[in-house]
Amino acid sequence: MVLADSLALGLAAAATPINLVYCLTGALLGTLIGVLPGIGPVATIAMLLPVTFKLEPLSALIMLSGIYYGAQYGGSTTAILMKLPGEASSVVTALDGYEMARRGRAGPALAVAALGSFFAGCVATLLIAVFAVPLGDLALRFGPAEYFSLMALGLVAAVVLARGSVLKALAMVVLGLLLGLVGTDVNTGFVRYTFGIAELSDGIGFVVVAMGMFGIAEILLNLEQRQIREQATATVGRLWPTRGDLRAAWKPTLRGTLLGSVLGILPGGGAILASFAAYTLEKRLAKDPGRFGKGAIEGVAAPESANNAGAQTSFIPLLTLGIPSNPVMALMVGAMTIHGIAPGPQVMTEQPTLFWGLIASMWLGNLMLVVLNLPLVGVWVKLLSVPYRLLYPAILLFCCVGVYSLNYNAVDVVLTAVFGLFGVVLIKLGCEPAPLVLAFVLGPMMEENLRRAMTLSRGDATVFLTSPISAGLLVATALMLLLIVAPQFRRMRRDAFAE
Amino acid sequence: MTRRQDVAAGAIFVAFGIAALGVGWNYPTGSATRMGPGYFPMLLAAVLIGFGIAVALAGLRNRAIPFERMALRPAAAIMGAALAFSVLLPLAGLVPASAAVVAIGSLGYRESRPVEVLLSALLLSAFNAALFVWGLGLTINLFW
Repeated sequence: MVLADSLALGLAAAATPINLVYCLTGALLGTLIGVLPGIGPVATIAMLLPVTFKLEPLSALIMLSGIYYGAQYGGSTTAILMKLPGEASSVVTALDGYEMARRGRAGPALAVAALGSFFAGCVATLLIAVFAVPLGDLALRFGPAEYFSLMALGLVAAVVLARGSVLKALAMVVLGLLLGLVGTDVNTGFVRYTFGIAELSDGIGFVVVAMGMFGIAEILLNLEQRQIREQATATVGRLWPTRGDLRAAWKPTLRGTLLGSVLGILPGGGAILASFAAYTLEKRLAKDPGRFGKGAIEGVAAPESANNAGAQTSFIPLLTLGIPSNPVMALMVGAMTIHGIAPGPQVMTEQPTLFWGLIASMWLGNLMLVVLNLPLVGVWVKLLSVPYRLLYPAILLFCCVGVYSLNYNAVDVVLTAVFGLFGVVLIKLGCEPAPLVLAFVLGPMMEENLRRAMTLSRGDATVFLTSPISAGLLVATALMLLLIVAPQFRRMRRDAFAE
Repeated sequence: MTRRQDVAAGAIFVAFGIAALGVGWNYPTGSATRMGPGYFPMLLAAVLIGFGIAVALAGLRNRAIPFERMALRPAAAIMGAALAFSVLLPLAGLVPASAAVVAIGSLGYRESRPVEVLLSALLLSAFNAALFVWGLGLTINLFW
C-alpha cells in the first residue's frame, strides 16, 4: 500500500509537537477570523505571510492552510447564532441555521454543522491523497501549450462559476492579467508599465493586490454602513442532535461532501460556490422545499459539509499542477515561494515529507476543530461583542505592517490602500474582485507559457489544438463559455446565487 | 442620465485598455515566433477595450442599475493612514508610524471615541513593536 505508507510518512511529519502547535494555531486563528465579519482568510493569510518567514516550510504551510479550513468552521458559528455569516461561504447556513437557533435548536444546528464539516474534511483529505499521485503524473507530461490552455480553462471557469455578470468578470480577468505584467519582463529585461517608479520594477506584489482588494476594501465597505447591525444572539441550549436530526442530516452531509469536493477541485471553485450549490441541491431534492428557510436541518448540514470539502479539495490543483484555483491558493503559492518551493508536481516527489505532511495536517486540524469548536462557542460569541470601531484600526495597522515587512518597501503600503479604494469602486460597479486577483497571479505565467509554446512551434498557433491534452482543455474552456449562453444554465446559475 | 453601473464599469475598462495601449505603444512586439515584451500586453489591451465597450453597451440596453457613490470620509482616512505610515516609518520609526495609522484610520468612522483611540493607539503600537521587532526579528527602527 503506497498510499498508506505515504500517509504514515505525512502523519509522522505533521504530528511532531511543534507542527501540532502550528496546526492548532492556524485552526484557531482561522476560526477566530471566521467568526469575525469584516476579515476573511485572504487578508489574514496575507498578513501572516511575513510571520512565517522564520518557520520551517512545513510548519508555515500547515498553519496557513489551517486558517483557510478553520475559517469554514468559524463562519458557521455566528451564522447560526446571530445570522451574521462571518464568511461568504456561510451565508446560506445563516438561512436555516438561525431559524433553528430561534426555535431553541441552536445546539443541534452547531453540532450538525461541526460534525458535517469534520466528515467532509476527512473525505476531502483522503481524496487529495488518492488523486495527488495520478494528477501529478499527468502534470509531468504538461508542456507550455498544455499549461497555457489549463490556465485559460481555470480563468474562464472562475468567471462562469462566480456570481454576477460574466462579461464584467471576463473584463476583470483581462485587467488582472495586464496588471500582472507590470514590471521587468523576465525574457528580455524590458521594463513595462512602471511609470519610472523604481519600486515597481519587480512588479506589483501579489500581497499588495490581495490585501488591498480583500482586506482594505472590506474595511472601507464596512465603514460605509453607518450602523453595524446588531442581532439578538440565540442561546445554545442542548447541544446534541436527536436521533431524528441525525437521520435527516446524514444524507445531505454525504451529498454536500461529494458536491463540495468536486466543485473545490474545479478551477475557480472553492468553499463559497460549494456551499451555495449544496443548499440549492438540497432544496431541489427535498420532498417539501417549503421547510427551507424555516429551520430545516438539511439546510445546515449540506452547505457546511460542502464548504469544508471545497476548501480542502481546492488544494488539489495547487499541489499537483502548481496552479492556484482561487485567491487563497494564490497566497499559498506566495508562501511556498518565500520558502523556495516551486509549487507543482515535483513537490510530491522531491519533498514527500512536506507534501504528505501538509495533507495529514489537514486531517489532524479538522479533528482538533471538531473537538475544540463546540466547547469554545461561548468564547467566540463573546469576541463578537468587541465593537468594530476598536477592531478595524487594529486590522488596518496589521495590514500596513504586514505589507511593509514583506519587502521593506513603504511604497507598497500606499499601493495597497490604492488597490483598496479601487476594489471598492469595482465592487460598487458590480465587479467581483476575485477573478482579477486570480488573473493577476496567472498573468506572468500565462505570458511565459504562451511565448515558449509559440517559440517551440515556430510561430504555429495550431500547437494548442494538436496536442491532445491542450485541445481537450480548450474544448472544455469553450464548453464553459457556451454554458453561459444556454438559457437553462443561466437560470440555474441565477437561482444558485439568489438566496 | 442616471448613474448606470455597467456604463461606468465599461468606461473604466476602456480607460485602462487605452492607457495600456498608449503607454505600451512603443514596446517591441516581436513576431509570433519570438514574442517581444509588447506582444501579450497589446493583445490584452485590445481585448480589454473590446470587453469594456461590450459591458457599456449591455449596460445601456438593459434596465439601468444605478451605483452608490463612494463615501469620502472612510476612503480619505484609510488613504491618509497609509500615506502617514509610509512617510513616518523611515523618518520616525515603527512606534510613531503605528500610532499614526490607528489615530488617522479612526477618523474614518463616526462612532470612534477620542479616549479609546488614544488608548488603542498606545496599546497597538506597543504590541506591534513587541510582535514584529522582538518576536519576529524584523529589522525596523522602533523610534527615530
